[in-house]
Amino acid sequence: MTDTRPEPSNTITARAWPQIAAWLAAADVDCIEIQTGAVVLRMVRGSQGYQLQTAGASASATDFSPASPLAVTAHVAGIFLTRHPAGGGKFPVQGDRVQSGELLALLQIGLVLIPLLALVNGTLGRCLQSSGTQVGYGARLIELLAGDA
Amino acid sequence: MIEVLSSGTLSTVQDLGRLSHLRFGVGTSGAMDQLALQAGNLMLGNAATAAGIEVPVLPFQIRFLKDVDFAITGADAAAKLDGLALAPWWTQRARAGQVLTLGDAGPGFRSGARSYLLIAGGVDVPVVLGSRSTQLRGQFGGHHGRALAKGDVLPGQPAQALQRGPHAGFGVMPADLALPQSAFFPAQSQTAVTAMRVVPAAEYDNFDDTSLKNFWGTDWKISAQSDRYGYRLSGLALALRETLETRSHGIVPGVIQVPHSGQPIIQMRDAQPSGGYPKIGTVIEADLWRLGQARAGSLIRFVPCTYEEAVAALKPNEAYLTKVRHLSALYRQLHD
Repeated sequence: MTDTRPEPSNTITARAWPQIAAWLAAADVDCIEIQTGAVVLRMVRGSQGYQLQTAGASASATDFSPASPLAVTAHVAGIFLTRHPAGGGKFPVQGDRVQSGELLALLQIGLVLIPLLALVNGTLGRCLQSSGTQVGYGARLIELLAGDA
Repeated sequence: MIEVLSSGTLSTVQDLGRLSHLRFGVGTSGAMDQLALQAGNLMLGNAATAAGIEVPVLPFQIRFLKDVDFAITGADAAAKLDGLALAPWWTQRARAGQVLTLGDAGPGFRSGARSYLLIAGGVDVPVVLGSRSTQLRGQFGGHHGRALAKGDVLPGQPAQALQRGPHAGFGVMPADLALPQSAFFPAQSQTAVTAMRVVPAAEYDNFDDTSLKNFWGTDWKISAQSDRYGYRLSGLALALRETLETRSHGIVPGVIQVPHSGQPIIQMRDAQPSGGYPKIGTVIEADLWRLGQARAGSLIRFVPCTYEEAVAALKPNEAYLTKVRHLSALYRQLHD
């Protein structure tokens, strides 16, 4: 039989970078470097999240285009919380602009509270789970539309 | 290593205190909320006894001069690292040059009187009489025996390597949620009251029946004249059955003395080690941290307790700290 699927593209679209940043963060990787011809792209973790650095390209790739919402997912199983058990300042809600690295919600495992962070700058979308719900690994929790205003 | 950029009054370096020098007339000092100090240390993988910074008045701002893990515990302080909000009771890695700000948490936040800043390895100031705690009255210990001021630079313990761990940090359940006072004090429908258990002290039976009834049965307001030395309370005056002559005797943090005014004074961490006023009771060690977080102007209530109950009450605190230690270590390991 002949494989009729299209050849895989070697182009990385701008909308893919937020997802790549999410994968790197989930894997706790500080930096990757991609070279195609004379163009070198480096994605580096800083204090505010991931930044793209380019060499040999005419345009910076840091301008993420608005894309379909990314999903902030559970990297461990736990109780999903949209508010800190102690109350206090509220976390961002749907429609709020958020910065990369901003705390969006928590996963509780016993006494430990694990952060769910915005991996890119963007706008918070829908909350996909109710606060207080036990969620499993990989559960989609919050939508995040990448891109600066 | 950190640099103090701005400090309210009386932020000091504290550890668990100077525990074996009362007989020489040296008070204990140490953190007013010892659970918060210990929990923060354990989140970082420090010894529970490591020194940190007690911050009673906000705002407080520091700059990290090198990469280091830190933790914030105690009273909610709306902490921000380079402008990004941190959750309460949180540990995270700071990079050199980043600025940590503890501000006024404002309405909607739980109240508390003191926040704690801990750094990996602990604050490295000289040990004096077995402790790094600041002794304000004697002007020794801590950072040059005084409260912190703008421009002070505090070293961390030398050769403290950055631990492996979750880059984005993690938090633990605050002590007041993990150890609710409802365990020994039924929830009240009235305004918030901080409850603490008290064992009767030497002169307890010398107070008249009305005073004893009021001591246990009414709220006491922490007056504005309250600090690390002692909390002056206001409420229905307590009276002795008859005049009592007492000599000065040893006292420890938690002892409740009743001077001639009838308004009790609870001795706190910087109290002198002796006093002559009649003692009506002692706040048990297991609940002193609750008192340490009670703000001036707030109400407290005393709950009667036996010696055996007071000793048993330490166990839940120890269990909480054990869980914080184990779970924090486990979570860090998962990110190795």
